[in-house]
Amino acid sequence: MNKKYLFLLCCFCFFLTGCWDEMNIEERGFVVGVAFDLAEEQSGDSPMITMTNQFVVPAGFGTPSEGGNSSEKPYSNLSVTGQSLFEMTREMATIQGNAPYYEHLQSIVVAEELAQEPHMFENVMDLLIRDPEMRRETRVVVSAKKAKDILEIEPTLEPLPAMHINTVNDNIDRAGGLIQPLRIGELNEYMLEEYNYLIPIVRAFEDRIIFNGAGIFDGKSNQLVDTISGLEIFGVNLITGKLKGGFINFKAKDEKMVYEIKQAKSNIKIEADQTDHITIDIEIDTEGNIAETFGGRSLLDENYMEVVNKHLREEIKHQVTDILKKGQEEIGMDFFGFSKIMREKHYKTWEKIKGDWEDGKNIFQNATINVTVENTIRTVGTTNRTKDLKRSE
Amino acid sequence: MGRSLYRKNDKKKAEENFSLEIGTNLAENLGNVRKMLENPNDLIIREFTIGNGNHRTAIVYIDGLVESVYIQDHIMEDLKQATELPDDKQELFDVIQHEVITLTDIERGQSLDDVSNAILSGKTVFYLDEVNQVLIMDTKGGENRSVEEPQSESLIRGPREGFVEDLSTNTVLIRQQIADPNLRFKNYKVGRRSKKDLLVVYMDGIANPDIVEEVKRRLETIDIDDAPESGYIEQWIEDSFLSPFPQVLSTERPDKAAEGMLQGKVVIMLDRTPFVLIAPATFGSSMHSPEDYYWRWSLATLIRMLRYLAAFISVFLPALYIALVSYHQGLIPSKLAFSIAASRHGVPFPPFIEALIMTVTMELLREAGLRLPTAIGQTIGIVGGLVIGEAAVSAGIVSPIMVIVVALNAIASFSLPSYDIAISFRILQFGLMCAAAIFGLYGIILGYIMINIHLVNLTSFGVPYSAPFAPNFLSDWKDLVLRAPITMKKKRPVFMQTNDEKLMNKGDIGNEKV
Repeated sequence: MNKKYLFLLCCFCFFLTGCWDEMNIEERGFVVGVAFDLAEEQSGDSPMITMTNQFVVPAGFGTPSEGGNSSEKPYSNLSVTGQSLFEMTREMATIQGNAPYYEHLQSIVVAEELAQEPHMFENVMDLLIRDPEMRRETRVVVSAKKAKDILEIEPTLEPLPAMHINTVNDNIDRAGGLIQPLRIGELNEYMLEEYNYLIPIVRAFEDRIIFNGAGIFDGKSNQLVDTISGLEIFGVNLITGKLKGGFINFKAKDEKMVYEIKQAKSNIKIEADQTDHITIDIEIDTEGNIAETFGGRSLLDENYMEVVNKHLREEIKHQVTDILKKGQEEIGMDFFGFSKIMREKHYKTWEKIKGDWEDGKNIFQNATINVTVENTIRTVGTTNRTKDLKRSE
Repeated sequence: MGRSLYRKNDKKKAEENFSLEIGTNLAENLGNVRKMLENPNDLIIREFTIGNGNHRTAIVYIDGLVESVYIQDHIMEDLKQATELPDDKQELFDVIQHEVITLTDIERGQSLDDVSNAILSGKTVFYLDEVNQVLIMDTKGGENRSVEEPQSESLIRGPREGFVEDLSTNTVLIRQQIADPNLRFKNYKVGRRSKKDLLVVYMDGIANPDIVEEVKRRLETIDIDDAPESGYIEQWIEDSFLSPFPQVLSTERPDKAAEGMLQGKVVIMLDRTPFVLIAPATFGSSMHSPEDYYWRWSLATLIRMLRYLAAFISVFLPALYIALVSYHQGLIPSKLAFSIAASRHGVPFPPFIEALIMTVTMELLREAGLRLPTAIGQTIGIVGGLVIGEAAVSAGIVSPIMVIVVALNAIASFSLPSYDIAISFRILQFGLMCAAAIFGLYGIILGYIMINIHLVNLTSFGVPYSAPFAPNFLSDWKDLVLRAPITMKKKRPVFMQTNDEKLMNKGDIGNEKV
């Protein structure tokens, strides 16, 4: 009997503790987007940062039966300036009423000027990687101007600007000029391994978000070094094999054509027998179809198709070598992931030449890179030509 | 632990036993009967003479309990028409029993106790003057419901007949299902005062003798005044009265009872109730419906899986809602989280109270629907549910999502084939809701583990309740969550340890391994 009472007594202890983690869903301040800017007024030794949180205002969504409440915005942005991010989130709790809750954080926008400061970016990211409330899936973008402005754009389809960034980013397979969004988890890996990486750049243009190019980040100092354009991203994607789709404009015998890439593979082989000079062979294999032509010649002509293919190969090769040259000569940084392949495939050599890869002996800059391109044109569309050129002449 | 509570050694008899022997004086004998029953107005004592007025006789019965046509045609007529009767009283008595009366069920009684038992169960007693014995003739009659479709277990496809209150009709229904000489009926009397007939029915040669013996042993311990329904029996003989799970199945369907017996189970039938008990029960068998075997296997399998999903929903859904909404908002997909937050905007109660209000309301509606006549009950149920749900939402007391959760939960619980198991899930649901409100998902997992520990500990008449899940019998999985084609089900359930393992021989001619 005594044991029974003891057991009951133990059970009552649970009730004494209460529900310490309990917080009702409507009391949470859901943060969907965070933007980081350098504060306009700087004071003290360490730089001041302005953190903007985009809170969801659930009432703004309206219930479906009410047909959506348009009078209220579904989000509210709140900016706080300070030095420590943690301090700022706590400050926000006192202003907002609902404590910020980051488990539904969709995107992080970092201003370009902040990213250009050495070590600033990694310090900002520390909390976002460290905090257990943060997800590894959260995406990071760089804003060309003020990051806060990106969160203030009112998209027409998506109710929340922060989520709109992701929806645009998801269309990477339609346009080759978009880089795969960088997830916080990947960022963490790149930072630890000191690989260079690319982060997409967004711009606020009137009331639209435009993805334009990408920022090249130095893996050691984690700062934005240079930017590349959308067309150059296309080349990078072809090299890394991460191209999910896209199109390429080219001319075959003065006829403008558009080749739609459905699938692209790349095979990179690095010969690292000599430690002072390495050779990189890149094989690019694409598959796609002719999406549009501005001429009238029949595409069923095999000889002509071979000419078309040749021009296409040259165009692709041209784009790829352009960006490789820019990387090697102009920027002097390896953002193609070659260093990762070196580490994985030639670990011993890599350990020796690691310090001379981009600096010192400049092994990367002096490397010989050979590019070969293969195309498979699967179809030319539902018709071989839409107009008869001979007759119109 | 609970069984000891029942084993009260209270054998003191509460009634005065009429052990009076029957005398030779007819008037005195009839007087005794009158005195014992205090001469109620439905006690019919008809005195008459036979054999040209030489022999004084009487028949005694209770009006309404007997079929008066029997008395008229087979007793009165036969006795009047009998000629050349012997003069010796004892000889005459023998002749009447063996030659005159054409009723088939006829026996002799010696004491007043026999007489009272007989007439109270619808028999007719024949007295002959100067003979200290009586004839007890079965003239049972009375009002009986005809065989109808079972109300609590209606099926789309399957026999439309259900058990009725009358035990002999029920026996016939069982006999009609299984025409096997090994079908055994063992008779018991239950109730010190009601003296109801109780039958233990099983297939000799299939059912494990240990299980049959255990059922009989437990039935023999029953010592109550009356058992108005088989629920009394169930609660007397079940293994653990603390468990929320039904350890004996009850059914109104003869086909289900027959199927149970062919799986080696024992069927317990009580007079005056259409619900028969099937023992032992397992968790798996509570989730089965006879219809599963009547449909083709692909559909049956799909329905079975759906049913297990329904079981999960009926136990866990409100608890999951509470846990996710008050602790783990990060686990809800973003857009759903925002819309739940929007719908909960302005609701004054925490999710647990909200869920409690709605589930209790649901239970009340269910209960109210049962009490009212069928036609009104349904309308009240539906209209009440809609009105209360709709009104509660627009009044801002509960969120629309909560209404969906409760509705889904109720639908899932109704879709379970056995009402018994649905009730036990309802009980568990409240416990899990509390666990979720205190500990969140962690509490639900704790509750789930506790339920599982309980399930594997529970036995029903020696058969593990969780079989064939927990003592794992792979071959029985053919008829568990999935239902394999009938031709593949060649054995009776292994966990029942039946004497005769094989269920069929067809299609197995070439490779008889068993």
